[in-house]
Amino acid sequence: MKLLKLTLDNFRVFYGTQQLDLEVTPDKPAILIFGMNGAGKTTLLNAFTWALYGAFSDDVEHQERVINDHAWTQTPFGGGVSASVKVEFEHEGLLFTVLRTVTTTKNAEEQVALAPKLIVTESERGASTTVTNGQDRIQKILPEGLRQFFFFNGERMERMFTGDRTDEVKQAIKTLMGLEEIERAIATHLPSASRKLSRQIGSSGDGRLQALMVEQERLEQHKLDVHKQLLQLSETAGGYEREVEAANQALLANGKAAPLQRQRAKLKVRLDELVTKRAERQEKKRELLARSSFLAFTGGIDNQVLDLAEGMRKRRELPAGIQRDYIDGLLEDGLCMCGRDLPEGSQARMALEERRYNAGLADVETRWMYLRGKAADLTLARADLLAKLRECVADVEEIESSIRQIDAEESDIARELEGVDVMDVQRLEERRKEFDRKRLDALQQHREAQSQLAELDEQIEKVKRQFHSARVQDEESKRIQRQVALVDEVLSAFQRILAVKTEEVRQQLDQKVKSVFGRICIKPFTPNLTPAFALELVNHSAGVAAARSTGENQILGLSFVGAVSELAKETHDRKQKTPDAVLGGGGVYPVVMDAPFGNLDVAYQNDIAESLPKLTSQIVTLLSKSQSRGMVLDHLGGAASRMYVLRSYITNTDADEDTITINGRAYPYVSHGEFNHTVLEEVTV
Amino acid sequence: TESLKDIMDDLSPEARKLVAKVWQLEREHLHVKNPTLLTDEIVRATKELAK
Repeated sequence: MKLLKLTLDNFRVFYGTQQLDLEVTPDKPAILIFGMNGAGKTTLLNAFTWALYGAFSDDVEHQERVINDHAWTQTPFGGGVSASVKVEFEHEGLLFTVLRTVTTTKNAEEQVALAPKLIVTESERGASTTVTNGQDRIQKILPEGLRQFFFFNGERMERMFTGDRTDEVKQAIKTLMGLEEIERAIATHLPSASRKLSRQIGSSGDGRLQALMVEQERLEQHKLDVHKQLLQLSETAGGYEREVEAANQALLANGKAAPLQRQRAKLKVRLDELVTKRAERQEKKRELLARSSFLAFTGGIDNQVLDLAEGMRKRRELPAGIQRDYIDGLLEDGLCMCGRDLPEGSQARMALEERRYNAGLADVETRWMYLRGKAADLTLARADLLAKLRECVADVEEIESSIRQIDAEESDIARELEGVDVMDVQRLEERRKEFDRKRLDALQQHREAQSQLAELDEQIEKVKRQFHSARVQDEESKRIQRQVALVDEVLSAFQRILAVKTEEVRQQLDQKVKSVFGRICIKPFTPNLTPAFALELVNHSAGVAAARSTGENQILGLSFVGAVSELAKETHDRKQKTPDAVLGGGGVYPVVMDAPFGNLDVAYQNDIAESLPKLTSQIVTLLSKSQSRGMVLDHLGGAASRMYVLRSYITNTDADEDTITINGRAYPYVSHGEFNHTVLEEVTV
Repeated sequence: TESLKDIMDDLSPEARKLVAKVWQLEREHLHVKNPTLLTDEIVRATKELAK
C-alpha cells in the first residue's frame, strides 16, 4: 500500500479544499508536516483512518463535528453542506480511490453525528470501476485491527502493548500474517461442514447418532451465546478502563493531585509487569502439570516393583545371568564348572538343568535390569518435578506478596487523594474508584465466562468422541460417522497448525523487535516478546525486567512498529517469489505518525529521528516546531521527499504571528485571519 | 517443539488431503462472495475422500 494523495474538503479545521501530495522516492521515504498545537496534526492523522474505516481515535473531541465550523456557520438554515476526505493509494499494482463523505441539510445550530457515505474505485491501466463492497475491499488490503501499527500517535504508542491490549495485538499480528485463514476454517467452516454431514443421518438413520448430533448442536449454540457475552464483557471492561484513564489524566492535570497521581502511575506500571509475570509463572506450572503430573502417582509403585524383583532374586526365582549355551556345553561334557561329574539322573545334573531352564529367560532378566534403571529415573524425575513446582509456587507467592505491597501503597495514595482539600480532586477520585470497581467486576465476569467456555469445549469434545465410537448398524449411518470423524480430525489438525504458526510468528517478531531496538537504543536493555505477546524490556546487566521510562517505552513502541512493518514486508516478498506457498499474509504498508517524540529529551529525539526513515518505505511524520530543532530536522529533512506547513489562521489578534524556519528559510506558521482555520502549504525541499 | 511436518505425519492419508483442500479453499476467499459455498465444498471433498 503506497499512499499517493490526500484531499480534504471542509474536514474539521481544514476549510475549503486542501491537498497533500504523498509520493516519495526510495532514498527519501519521509514526508514531514509541521504545525502548532491545535493546527490539525491529529486531524490529519485521523483523516486517513476516517476515510479508510470511518473511525476517529479516542483522543479526538467532538467527533460529530466532521464539517468545518466556518463552513457550517456560513450555511443558511435549510441549505446543504458537506465534508469529505479522499485517499488515493496504490496496492499490488492497482490504483485505489477511497472517498468518504458526509452531506446534510442544516436544521440546527449544532452539528449532529451523521452516517458517512463511502465510494471506493479501483483502476488498472486507466480502466476504472466502482468496488461494490468498498469497506470489505479496504479490510482485505489493510484490516482495521492493524491500523494501530500504521496510523498512530507517538505519545500514546505504549498503550499498544500494555495491559489488556495484548490479545488485540496478538489477533492483529495473526491477521497480518495470514493466520486468520486457518482461524476461519477452525471457527466457522469446518464446524458447519461437520454439522451439515451429521444432519444427513435423517429420521431413518441411527437414533443414537441423531441424539448425539442434537446434543452437540445445543452445546455449540450455547457456546456461541457465551462467546457473544464474553465479547460484550470485554468491551464493557474496556469502556470502564477508558473512564478510569480519563479520571487519571484529570487528576494529573490538577496541581494538588499531580504528585500523588504520578506516584500512582509508577505503581501501576510495576503492577502490570508483576501481573504479566504471575500469569507466565502460572502458565509454566500448568504446563508442568499437564506434561508430568502422572509422575506424582508413581511414588511407591516403583519401590514395590523393585522389592518384588529383589525378593524373587533372593528366592532364586529370578534368572541368573549365565548364558544357556554355556550350560548346554557343561551338560554335553558331563562335567560341571566346579569339576564335579554330571551323570544322568544325578542331583547335581538335575540342579544344573533347572538352572539351564532359568538361563533361557535371560531376556526377561535384561528387561528387569532395564526396569530397575527406569525406576531409578522415575525417582529422579519425581524429585525434579517437585523442585520445579516448588520453584513455581515460591515465585508466584513472591510475586503476589509484591502485588499486595503495591496494592497497599496504592490504597494509601487513594486515601491521601480523598483527603485533598479540593472538591474537584475528591470528586474525581470517587469517580475513578467507582469505574475501577466496575471494571474489576466486568473482568471477574469475563473470567467466569471464559471458564464456562472451556467447560463447554470439553462437553462438545466428549459428545464428539461418543459420536465417533458409537456402534451403528446401517451402512449409511456408518458412512456419515466416518465422514464426520474425518472432518473432526482435520479440525484438530488445524488447531495444532495454528498453535505452531502463531509461535513461529511470535519468534520471528521477537527477533525483529530485538534487532530494531538494538539499532535505536544503546542502553543494556533487550526487548522480549512473551508467549502472551506482551512486550517487556529486560535489563541484561541485572537480568531483570527494566523499569521503563517514557523514552524507553516510546523506543520500544517504535521498535515494535518497525518490526511488524519489516516482518509484513518480508512475508510479502517471500509470497511474491513462491506464490504457491501455503501461507498468505504480509504486505508493504506506510506509517503515518503524529508526535513521534512525545516529550522525549534531545538525545532520544536524535536517536529516533535517525531511525524513523529506516522504519518503512513510506513514513508521514507530523511535528510541532519545538520538536523539529537542530539535529532532528537534519536527520529527518535529509530523508524527506516533501515537506508541508500547517499554517494556522487565528482571529485572536493579541496573539503574535509566527514563522517556522526550514532549510534556512522562514515560512508563515501562525497568521491572523478572519476566522480560525488551517491551510496546507508546501515547503520547497 | 511440534512442527508442521509432525502434524501432517500424524494424520490419515484422507485427512492430509482434506487439510490441503480446506487450506486452498480458505486462501481463495470463497466465503466473501458466498458464505455457504465454502462449507459445501468441504462437504463435497469429505464425501469424496470417505465414501
